[in-house]
Amino acid sequence: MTDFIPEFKLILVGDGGVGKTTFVRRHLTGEFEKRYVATLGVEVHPLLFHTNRGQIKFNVWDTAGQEKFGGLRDGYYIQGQCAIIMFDVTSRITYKNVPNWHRDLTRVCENIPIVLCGNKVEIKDRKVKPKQIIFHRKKNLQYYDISAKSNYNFEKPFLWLARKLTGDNNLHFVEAPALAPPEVAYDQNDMVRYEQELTEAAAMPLPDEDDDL
Amino acid sequence: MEAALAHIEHACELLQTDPMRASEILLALRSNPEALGVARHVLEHSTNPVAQFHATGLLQAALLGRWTELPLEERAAARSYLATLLLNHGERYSHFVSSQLLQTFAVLWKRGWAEEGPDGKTHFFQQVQALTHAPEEKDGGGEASRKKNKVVLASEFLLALVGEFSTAKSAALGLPLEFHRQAHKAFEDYGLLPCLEIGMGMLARGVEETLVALPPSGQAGREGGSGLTADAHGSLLRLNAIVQLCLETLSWDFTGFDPLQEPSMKTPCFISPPIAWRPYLLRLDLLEGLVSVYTRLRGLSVQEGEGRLHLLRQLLTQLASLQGPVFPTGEERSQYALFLLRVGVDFLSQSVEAASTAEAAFYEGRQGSGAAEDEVEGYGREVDGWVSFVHVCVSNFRLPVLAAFPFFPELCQRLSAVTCLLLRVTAGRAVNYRGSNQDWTAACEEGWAMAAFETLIETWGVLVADPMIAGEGGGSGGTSPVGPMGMEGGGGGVEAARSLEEDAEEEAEAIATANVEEQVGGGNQAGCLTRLHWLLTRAGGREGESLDRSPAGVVALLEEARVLVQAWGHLIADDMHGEQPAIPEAIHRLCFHATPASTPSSSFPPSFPPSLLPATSLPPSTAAALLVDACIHLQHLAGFLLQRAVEVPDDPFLSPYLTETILSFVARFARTYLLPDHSLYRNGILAPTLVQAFGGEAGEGQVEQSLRIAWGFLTRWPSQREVAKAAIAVVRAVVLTGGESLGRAAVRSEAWKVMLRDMEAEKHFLRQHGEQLVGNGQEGHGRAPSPSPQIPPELGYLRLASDLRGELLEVVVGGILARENDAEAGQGIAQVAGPVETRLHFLLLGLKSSNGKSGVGRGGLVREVGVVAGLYAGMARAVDNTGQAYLPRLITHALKPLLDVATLCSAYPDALHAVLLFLRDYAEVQISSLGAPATMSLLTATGQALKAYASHNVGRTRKDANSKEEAVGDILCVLELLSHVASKDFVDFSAEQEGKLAADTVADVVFFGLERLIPLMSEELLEYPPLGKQYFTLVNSMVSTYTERVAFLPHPLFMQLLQSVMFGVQRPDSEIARDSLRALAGLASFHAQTVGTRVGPAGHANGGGRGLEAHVTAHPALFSECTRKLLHLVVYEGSVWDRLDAASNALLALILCDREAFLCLLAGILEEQPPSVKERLGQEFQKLMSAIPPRVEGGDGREGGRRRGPAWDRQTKLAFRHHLRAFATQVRPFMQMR
Repeated sequence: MTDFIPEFKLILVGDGGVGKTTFVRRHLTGEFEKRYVATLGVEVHPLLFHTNRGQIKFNVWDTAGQEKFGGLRDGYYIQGQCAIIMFDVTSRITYKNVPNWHRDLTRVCENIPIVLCGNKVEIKDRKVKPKQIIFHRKKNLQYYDISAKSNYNFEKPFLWLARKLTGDNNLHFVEAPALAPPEVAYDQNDMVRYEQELTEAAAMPLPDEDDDL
Repeated sequence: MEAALAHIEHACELLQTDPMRASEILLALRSNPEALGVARHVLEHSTNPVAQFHATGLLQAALLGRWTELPLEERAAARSYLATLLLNHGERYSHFVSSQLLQTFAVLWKRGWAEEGPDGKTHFFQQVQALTHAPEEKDGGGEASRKKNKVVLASEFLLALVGEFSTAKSAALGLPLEFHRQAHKAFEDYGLLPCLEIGMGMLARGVEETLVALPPSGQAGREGGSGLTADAHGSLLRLNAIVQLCLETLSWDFTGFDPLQEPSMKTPCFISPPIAWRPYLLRLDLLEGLVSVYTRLRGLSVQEGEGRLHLLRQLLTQLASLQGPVFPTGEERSQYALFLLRVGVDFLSQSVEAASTAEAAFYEGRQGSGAAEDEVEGYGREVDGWVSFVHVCVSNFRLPVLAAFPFFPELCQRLSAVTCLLLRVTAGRAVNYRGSNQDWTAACEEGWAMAAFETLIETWGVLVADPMIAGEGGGSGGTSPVGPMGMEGGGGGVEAARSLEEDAEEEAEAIATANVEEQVGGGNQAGCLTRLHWLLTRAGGREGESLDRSPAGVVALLEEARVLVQAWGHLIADDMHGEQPAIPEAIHRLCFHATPASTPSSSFPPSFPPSLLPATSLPPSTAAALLVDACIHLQHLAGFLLQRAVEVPDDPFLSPYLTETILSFVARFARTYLLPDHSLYRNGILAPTLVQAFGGEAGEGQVEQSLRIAWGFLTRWPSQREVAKAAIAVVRAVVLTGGESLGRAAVRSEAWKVMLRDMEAEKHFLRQHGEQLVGNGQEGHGRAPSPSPQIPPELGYLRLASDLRGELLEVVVGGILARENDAEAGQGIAQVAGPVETRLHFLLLGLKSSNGKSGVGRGGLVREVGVVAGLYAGMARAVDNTGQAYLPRLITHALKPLLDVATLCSAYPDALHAVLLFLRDYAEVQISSLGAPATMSLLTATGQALKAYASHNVGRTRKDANSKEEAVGDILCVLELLSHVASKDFVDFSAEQEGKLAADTVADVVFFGLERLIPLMSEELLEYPPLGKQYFTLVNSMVSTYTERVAFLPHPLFMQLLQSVMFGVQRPDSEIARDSLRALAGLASFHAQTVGTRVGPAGHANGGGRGLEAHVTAHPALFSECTRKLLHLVVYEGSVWDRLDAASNALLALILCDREAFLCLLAGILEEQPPSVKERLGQEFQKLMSAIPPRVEGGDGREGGRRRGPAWDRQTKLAFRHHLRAFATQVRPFMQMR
């Protein structure tokens, strides 16, 4: 008898260029997309994870972030069972649009578990700092810093969603997902130090624009 | 129609398996002329909810597609049709279909809002209002339930409307941004208030209804004690919908609406609604009702209550964010604020206690505890929510308002108790994880307690950063509202120092000033220090028999100790008076009136564990003494750990992390508290407690101890990198970054002398073992490798990593130069620099003897190059303000041998990299004060190093690198070196008069390097932020300083440079983009100004050309391509405001270079636009063109020419900038579609 593998439809949304396709492709092809190719409409990627309760599959609906390539837009959200809203921590405007994505998503999918992910944390020029990320607290979502480029926290959103969907808080992954090797090394100490530097830098007054005038 | 219905249903089935195909079918239907009819048919007859959903989208697209053709009645009819579907047939539709219908309804309203007269809008709101007022007497079965549904529906109608008008994102209307902006404003003017009025009215009724349905007993609202009754369930359902509406309405952005504008990231956000909102918002009765509902909901289970509780917390938090004209009097604002803060502190206390109990219960019954974990998570979120609420209250209403009430001190005490409890819970987490293999550090950080604790710290920071406390010289003389701290009030009228609150770092620091006494001793029997005492006395071994000595147990205990030491670090805090560290005013005041502490023990090594304090409750009056004791004892603890490291190196309680934390504490404490400068404090008087504890002989004794401890760790535990770094930080704090008297005392101390003597002893050691150390290059050639010499204990620091040795040397040399007098400085420098010179000597010997050979032995030599260059780099980073130029002389003397080393090792990237780093550091710190001969030596050395680099390493990226930084480290280093060298031409503080640098010497060196780097600057490399920043900074600096030389670069090189600049213009990083734009402006303006004259560097290959003419001849479209890209940036790019000013200069310069090309470009862009846009765009182009100065004919009849002031002067640039800003503001909204 074939083992039953529970499948869940996962909606992945966020502004164009935040790294949705890159993130989901880390698991599939192991290739980090260096060049940005906009997603047209939607692409569905089945992602298989091995847990202590057996396998679990997320059918990730990677939707277009850019309006002009949107296809059916929220039409793809129907019957979504969980979701990831992604933004880019180096671009404030992508964080500003998170409420819009959340609103669209929850209009169609009521009461589904949602994870908010801040991508590109490996870039040293972070614009949206951890303390400024408060949307998830307003809406009772889970938040993770991630880096598609370095695989940092790749599995965390999936694990949290899997626990919520199965109602099993003791569920954990027993095999690391087959990810591409990280393109950059993510050094947590480095990030902590950098955060501190950022805080200090943020306190410095900005020079006047174009002081040659 | 039936066929169309089947077609859609088929596409919907296909959607899950082949979404692209399904999308094609469904999207194709939108161009069907019968789309409207098909959509209606599907909505009315299909039972497939997915088909209904897409039919709604189809209906919307069909209506919007011919909106302008539709008469007003048909538009109204379309809205009415949707409303009827929802009101009369709502039960037919799934939730997501209803939501879609509601959204379409809102979209149609938005599209037609401007054309709709006031009557139509009023009528709509009246209808919604009517929905909420179904007569009560008709309640009975079906009618009652329908009425309840109508309330939900009314809320949802308004919610959809507010949501739609608040954003440009949710509906793809295909209209310019300015439409959305106008709609936002129009709805704000007429629409938002009715929504609020209806929403708050419903809320009041909903609260009453819920209180009836859910009485205080809790069980009365339940069926058989399990689920909620139908009544209770129904009322909660309605309340949910209403609260969501109120939340959305209160979230309205009154500051304007621009989806392209980068958001402000300031938190928390406050709401400033107009005064008309006042009657609906300032209702204490409603707030009390909400609080009662919240209290009753807390009685429900996590599953039943959590989501609802969260919504109510959010609503209360929004209400706590109110400010502005809704509060006409201060009295009302105070009443409102106090009510909310009391509520917040009440619920926070309750939730923290509940969460802490739930967490304890969870750890006790760890197995199979999914529900318990849910409970912990639920309570954790509640704590988080209330902490945020309190933070918003405090940040919004501020101390002067809150302090007006007599029971505010009591609130502070309760808040302080909560803070302490949270700290304990966080520490408790560490203990609870001792038995598991989980990453408990991460668990502590991720848990609810740590996040909540941090927010509370910030809240305290906001309270005490208030000018009322921070202000000097208060007039009232009364007790501060933060009474328990015993600080004098500041008068409350001081409005200065507001900026303090924006500095998160200072806020975090301010924890100490906020609740120092509370945390130190204010009745907090189980406070941090007691706990630390308990832990460390046991860890010390005296009472440790019963201690868990398993690895996990030890780790957990040490981690807890570490957290507590960190907490003490926060408590002592520090402050800056100008550039000098100082004790924060609040702590100073605390100590001022305290009884002086008992004379501290200064024996060394300490007999630890000392009796830190009795493990009983401590009266608040001893807080200052306790603070002093704690500082001293923590310093003793560092000494104790050093002793253990020497005597029992395998002691399981010897933790590098704990040691590092304690040393960091010592560094911070020493810098701020030891031998404090009296003049920094009010009237030059320092608190007697502090004078006795940390001034005079006592202070000098502690300076001695600090240095001994630091040096002890550096010699005895050099293999622990973090410990060594912290020890160096202690030396730095005591010698360099502390006050003048601290530094002087440090260099007079015996410990300092011991340190210098030990460092000098290296020289003798090298004389004996130097050849062994450098390997003499002979191994690998038939000889056995030389055995490593035995390093004596006092020279243990020789085992430090080379970068740390460099850092240590920097601190020591810096200390000698800053604190010693001239004679002693010379002697001190000789003591520490002598061994380095000896080492260089042996290195050269080793290299020369192995010249031409390769093999294993080279590895040792290359490593030695790294060590020696690192040591010189360390010395080069020290600041020499003595006027004696000790360092320049020392380093100039070493430059030649070091460059010989670089040449000999040019094939070894690591060795060359180390030399480049040394040159970079030397140039960065010293070049501005170097005299001509020393500068010349540095330039020669730089040129030589660049040649060595160019001969073997150009373009090399390291394959074995662990990170991008490492991979491109050489290129980055060369860029930095060139930038520092280039700075000599415009920053020169050299006091020496003798000699003079030949003109262009600096430029020659920099251009030599730059010409080799430009071809390497691929887009991929420039995408790496640090490298990109450095490169564009350098390019901008070179263009502005040596424009002509850049302009006359060989054509291929120039084009590569220009290409990289155009790439930089479009980078998301503002700084890079602005630097690139400035460089572009520099080049273009140079051309505009010089064309028509013969300008060019004498003897240059391209000399005699005009401006950039040689490049334009080779590439005629040069200017038009750049201009096109800049125009595209201004009109289309998502983010432009951060770089618009720099772009305006560049664009103006380009226009002046080639006005015809610009006009052609404009004509081309206009041609591409639809007629509706063309005219407006044309007008805006005209306005922009009016800011361009008229053509000034040069001698040869061409534009440009020297001395053309009117074309390129400040006024012209300012005028053009102004016009370009207006242009972008006007054009972007209608050129960018949403």
